Amino acid sequence: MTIAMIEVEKLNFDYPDKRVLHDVTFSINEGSVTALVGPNGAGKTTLLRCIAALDRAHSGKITIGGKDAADFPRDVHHMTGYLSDFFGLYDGLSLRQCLTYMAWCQKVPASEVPKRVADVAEQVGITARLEEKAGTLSRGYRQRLGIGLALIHNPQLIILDEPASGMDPDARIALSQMIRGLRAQGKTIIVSSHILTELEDYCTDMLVIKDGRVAQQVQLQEYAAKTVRLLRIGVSGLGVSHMNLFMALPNLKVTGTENNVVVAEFSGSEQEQQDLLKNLMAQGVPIFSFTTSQHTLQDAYMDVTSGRK
Amino acid sequence: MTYFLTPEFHHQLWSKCPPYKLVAAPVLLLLLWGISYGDLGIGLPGPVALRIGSLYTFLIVVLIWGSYEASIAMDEEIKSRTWDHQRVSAISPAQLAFGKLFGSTSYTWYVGLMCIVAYFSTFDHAQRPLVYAAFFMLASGLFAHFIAFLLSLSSFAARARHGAVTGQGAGFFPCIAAIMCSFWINENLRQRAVNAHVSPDVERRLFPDFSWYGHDYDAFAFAAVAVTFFLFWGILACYRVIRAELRYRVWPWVWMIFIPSLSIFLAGCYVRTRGGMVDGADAAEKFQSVDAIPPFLCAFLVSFLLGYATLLSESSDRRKYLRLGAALRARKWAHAFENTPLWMATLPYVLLFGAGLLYNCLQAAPLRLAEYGPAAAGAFLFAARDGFAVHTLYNILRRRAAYAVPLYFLVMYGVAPLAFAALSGDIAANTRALMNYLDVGAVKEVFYPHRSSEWLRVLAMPMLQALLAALLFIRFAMKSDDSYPKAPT
Repeated sequence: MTIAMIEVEKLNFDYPDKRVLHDVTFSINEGSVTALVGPNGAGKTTLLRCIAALDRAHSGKITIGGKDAADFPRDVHHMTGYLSDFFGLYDGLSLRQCLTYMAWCQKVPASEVPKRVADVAEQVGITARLEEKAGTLSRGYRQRLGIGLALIHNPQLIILDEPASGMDPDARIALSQMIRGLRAQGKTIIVSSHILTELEDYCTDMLVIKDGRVAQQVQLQEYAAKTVRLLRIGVSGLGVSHMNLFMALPNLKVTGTENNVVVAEFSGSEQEQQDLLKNLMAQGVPIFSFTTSQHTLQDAYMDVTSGRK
Repeated sequence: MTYFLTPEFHHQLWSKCPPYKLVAAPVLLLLLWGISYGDLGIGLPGPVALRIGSLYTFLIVVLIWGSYEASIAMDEEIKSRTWDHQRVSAISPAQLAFGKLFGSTSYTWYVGLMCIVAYFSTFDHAQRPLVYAAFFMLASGLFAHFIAFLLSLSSFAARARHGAVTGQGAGFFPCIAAIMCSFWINENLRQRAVNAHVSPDVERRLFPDFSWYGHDYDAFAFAAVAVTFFLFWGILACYRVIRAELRYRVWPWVWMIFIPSLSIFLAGCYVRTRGGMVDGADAAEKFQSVDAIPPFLCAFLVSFLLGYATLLSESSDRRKYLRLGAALRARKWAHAFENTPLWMATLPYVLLFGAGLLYNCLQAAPLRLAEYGPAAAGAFLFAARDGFAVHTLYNILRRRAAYAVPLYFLVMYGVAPLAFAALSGDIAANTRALMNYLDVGAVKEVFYPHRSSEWLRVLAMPMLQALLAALLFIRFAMKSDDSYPKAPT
C-alpha cells in the first residue's frame, strides 16, 4: 500500500502582479524520487518553496507527512531538507562549523552532532575539506555542502532545486549514487533539474509543470512498460533482403539506417525482444551489434511538452 | 539550550568574535586609556580623561557600531542568500531573534562592558545614582540595538512585500534613528544620574519626583521603568516580526495590546494632580481642567499616529484584503483576524479614544470642541489621502516607491505649501482668485489640518484631495481580476 508523503490540492500562488500556480493538484508517494520538470518560468521553484513551507500560497492546501504546511510550517521544515537553486553559505565559517550550526538549528541532539556531521560529510564527499572555510570552495564543492546542510537532520522529505548545477561529471555521478542511496533508505525526494538524462538515473516519477499548471504526472516504470524502445541492430553487409526481413517482423517499426545499423522502434515486451533476437540469429542475419536505448523520462517529457499526449 | 546560548548566537560568535579580535580589543583599549590617563596635554586630571575616553569609546563602539551591526544582521542573511537555510530549520523565533540581536552585537558589548567598567572605576565610590547611570548606559545600548534591528527587519519585510529582493542599504536609516534615540537616553538620563551623585540637593534638582496618574514616583526609578517598558516592547516586536518571517500564523493581538499600553502609559504623564471643574473659568481653562480630557486626548493622538504610521507602512498587496474579505464571508474568524492589517486593528482604538474625548469635551468644553473638531476631522481626511496616495505609488512604482514615497511627503507637506505661500503675493493673483473661488481662504488649510470652527471651510480641500487620491487608487491599484479564489487558505 502506498502512502502519500505530499498532497497538494488546488494550490494557487500569486506574485503581486501575476498568478504563477493555478489550481495545482497532485500527490507524491512516500519513498519515491520525483523529477519536477518544465520550461523556465513554469513555476517549479515557487512550487518547491510552497512545499517546503517557505512561501504561503493564496489558496489551496499542502499536506506534508499528514501536516498542513500552512498551520504547521515548522513541523514541515523539520521533516524537510531543502536546497534552493540560489542558496548561499556562511563564507566565513569552516565546513564543519556550517554543518554543526545547521545541526543545532535542526535540533539534532547535541551528543549526536559530531557523528552526524562526519556522516553527512562522508555522504557528500567533503570529509577532507571540513576545516576549510566555505568561502574558499569551488562551485561544485559549495553544491555538495549545500546538499549536506539539507541532509544534516536526516529528513524524511528532501527537496533539491537544481542540485547538479555547477558540478563536474564525477560529482554528478556521486550525486546520482547518493540519491539512489537515499531512496534505498526510504526517503521521499523531489528533484528539479533541466538535465533529464541525469534525472532518469534515479527518478521513479515525473511531474511536469507548464505555465503554472500540472501538465502531467507520470509513474516512469508504468510509462516504460507502455512505451516503445529504440533498437539499433548492426548487420554486416546490410542489404535489401535484410531490410525486407526486418520490415516483416512483428512489433518492429524500422525508422531508418545509419551505415550498417538498422534503427527501429520495438513495442513488444522484454521476452518478445529476446525472441526477436533469437529469430534473427536463427535466420542467419549477420548481426554484429544489438543495443536498446530507452529515454523514458525524456520521451515522456517530450510527449507532454509537444502535446503528443 | 537557553534563548541566549542559541545556535544563532554561537554562529554569530564564530563570525563576529574570532580570537584575534578578542585579544586586540583590550590591548587597544588599554593603550588608548593609558595615553588618556597620562598626559594628553589638555590639562585634564587622569581619572577625568579616562572617564571621557571610556565614555566616548562606549558611545562610538556600542551605540554607533553596535547599531550598525544590529541593522545589518538581517541584510547579511539576505545578501549571502542564507536566510532560507534558517527559515527552513527548526530554530524557534525567540532563539533566532535573540541570537541574531545579541550575537551580531556581541563584540561591541565585549568592548562596551570594558568601557563601562573603566568609566565607573573613575568614581570614588558607588552611590545610588551611579547604579542608575550604569543601567542607563546599558539600556541605551540595548535600546539602540533593538530599534536598529527592529526597523531593519520591518524595512526588509516591507521591501519584500513591495517587490524588492535584496537587502542592500536597508540598515542605514534605522541605524540613524536608533543611534539618535540611544544618544538621548545616554546623554540625558545617564548624564543627569552621574551629575546627581554629587549631592542629594543636586539629585533633587536634576531628578524631581515624577507624577504619573497623580502619584509621585522616584524619578530615577520611574525613568528606569519607562526605559524597561520600551525595551520590553522592542524585544516583543523583534520576536513577532521574526515569527512572521518564519511563516508562523501571526495575529495582531500583540499590537492590539501595545496600543492601549502605550496610550495608558503616556496618558498617565498628562494627568493633572489638581484637576476638576473650575467655576467661571473660560473654555480653554475648562478644557485643561477636566481630568479625563488630557489622557483621552493623549490616547487618541497616540492611537491616531500609530494608525497613520501603520497605514503608510502596511503591505499594499491587495491579496491580503481579498483574503480578509473571503475569510469574513466564510466566517473564518481566525483567518480574518490573521489577515487584518495593523491599521485596521488600530482603528477601533482611534474611535474608542476619540469617542471618550468627544464625550468629555461635550461635558466640559463644547466651545473648545467646536474649534478642535474640524482639525481632527481634517487630520482623518489627510491621513486617508496619504494612505490612498502612498498605496497607489506602491502599486504603480513597486521598487521605486522607496524613493517616490518620501518625495511625495516632501512635496505635499513642504515644497507645495511653500510654493503656494510664495505665490500668494501679487504675482499670483490668479492663484489667489482660484483659492477664493474654492472658498478655502488661507493656503495652510489646503495642506494641513487647521484649527477653526468653520467646518466646511476647513474640510473642503482635504475632502477633495482624499476623494481624488481614492479615485487614483481605484484606477491604478485595484485592477479587476476574477481569478482570485473565493476561499481563503
